[in-house]
Amino acid sequence: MISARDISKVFNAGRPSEFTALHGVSLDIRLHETTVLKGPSGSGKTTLLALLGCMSRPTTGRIFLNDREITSLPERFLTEIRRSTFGFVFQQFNLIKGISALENVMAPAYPTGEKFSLLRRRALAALEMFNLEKRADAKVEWLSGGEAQRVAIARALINNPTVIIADEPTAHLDTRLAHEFIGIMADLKAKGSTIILASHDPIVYDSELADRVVEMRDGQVVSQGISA
Amino acid sequence: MMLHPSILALFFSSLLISLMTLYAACYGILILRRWDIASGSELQLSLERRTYLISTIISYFLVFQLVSLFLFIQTADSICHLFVGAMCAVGTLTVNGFGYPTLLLKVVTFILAGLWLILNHADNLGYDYPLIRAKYLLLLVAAPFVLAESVVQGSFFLKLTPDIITSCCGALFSQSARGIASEIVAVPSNPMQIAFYGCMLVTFAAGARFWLQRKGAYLVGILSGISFAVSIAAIISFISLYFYEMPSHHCPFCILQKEYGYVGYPLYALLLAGTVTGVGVGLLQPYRKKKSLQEILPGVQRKLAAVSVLSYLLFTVIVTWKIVFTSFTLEGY
Repeated sequence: MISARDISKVFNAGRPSEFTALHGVSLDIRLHETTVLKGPSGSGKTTLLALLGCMSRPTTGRIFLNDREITSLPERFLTEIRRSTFGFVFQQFNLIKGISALENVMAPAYPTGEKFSLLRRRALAALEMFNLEKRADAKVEWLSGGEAQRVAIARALINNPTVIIADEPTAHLDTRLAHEFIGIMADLKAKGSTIILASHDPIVYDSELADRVVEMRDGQVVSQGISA
Repeated sequence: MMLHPSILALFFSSLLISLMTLYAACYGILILRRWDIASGSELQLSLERRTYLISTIISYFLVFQLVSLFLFIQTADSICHLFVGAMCAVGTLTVNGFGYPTLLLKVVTFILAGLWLILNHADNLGYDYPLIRAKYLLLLVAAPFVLAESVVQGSFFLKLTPDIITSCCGALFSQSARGIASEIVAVPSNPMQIAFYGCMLVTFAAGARFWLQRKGAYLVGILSGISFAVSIAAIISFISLYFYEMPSHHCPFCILQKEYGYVGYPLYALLLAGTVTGVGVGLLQPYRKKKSLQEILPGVQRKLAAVSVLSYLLFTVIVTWKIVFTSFTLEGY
């Protein structure tokens, strides 16, 4: 269970540009399920995802991962949790240009010190899972949108995370690729992964993949419930 | 004030360290008063974020504080030729009334900075800031010494004028002089040798016992502190004589010079390393049962004990080697 308790996030605090992205959000996310954060732009979905994934810290409130409080952890401990627990798929994919798809997939595992040959084999297997083995040596700027997205997913999986977090994963995809993404996530969920998605795309939050849909607006949770 | 590069480096670095320590100490007061890890308040989360940054910055400053002791001594030694009558750092330090107080404060801040770095290292190993109050309390203790050192050192440098006739070490470290140094010099060498080797033996035994059985951490800490004082007295009393091969030259600073192979630097570095790490073993002992540290801290203490014993051992080996292999003898002194 991932639990957020009374989470607020203020950007540029004390400055004229101060902006409160989240107001006292409390939320429970069950493991091995798919939770979709739904809401318009500016509703706080991305901010909440970043906080749940330990990529930033709240201004107030605490987050618990399996009853372990994680917001107070010093950065080096948080890094380890982030690396071993969460896999991120970003809206713009954030692949590193100038290096190959394979190297992109391997990159998050470099700090673990795993033997290079083993890591390479695992990265190739991850690419193979998404039928990208022939594109392993291609630079990421040569990949199509769908291929880039699958590389991003393979990269998110390289450290065997228990939770996959994706921010607006279908924002830059056509309908066919969006459905393909839903299929990939469904497979991962079937294998036991916990999936947290932020999206305002009906293809995502109305899909069978979504177990729970949390609706957000103006930095607050307005409703949460089991998906129809 | 002399515009010597080392003096400027010491002057401005001391100023920076003082400002940073003052800021961190003020922040430490807030930590001591308001820290509550169970709270998710804005203040608590802000303290958690800032302590990481402040601890990291202050640790770099305190590492320089360690180095600055040696830079200060080296500077005092290297500019002694500018003062009439000075032969080594002693002459420079007696040019005005701030030289020795600066040196004393530098030694005190060296030990406090070293202990703070040990506490900070141990605190960083725990996931819940287990030693945060202890390390900021120690910083509050250290801050007045750091500030005093900056003021006294600044006064020392500002009042350094080359036309002053000063005393050489032969005059200060002799039986006819007044003060604690002359009293140490006056002590016969045999009892002091017994005290030195006895103290070292007991310290090695306590360190080895802790390393093997994890018992006697406080004893290691106390003995390391005592060994430091006894070793300094021993250097003045008889160790220096063997290096100079002169029965009346007791200066603890001349061994820092080229003529004696700069042997003073490793000797003092080993002595200070042994003291700080040894005292550190005892300092960490009250926190060994903290939940987040109970698995880690014994290992840290064991390493510190090993470093302490090895430092003192090496110090003793260098000193004994000189005593054994020199043709100089102290029979009758």
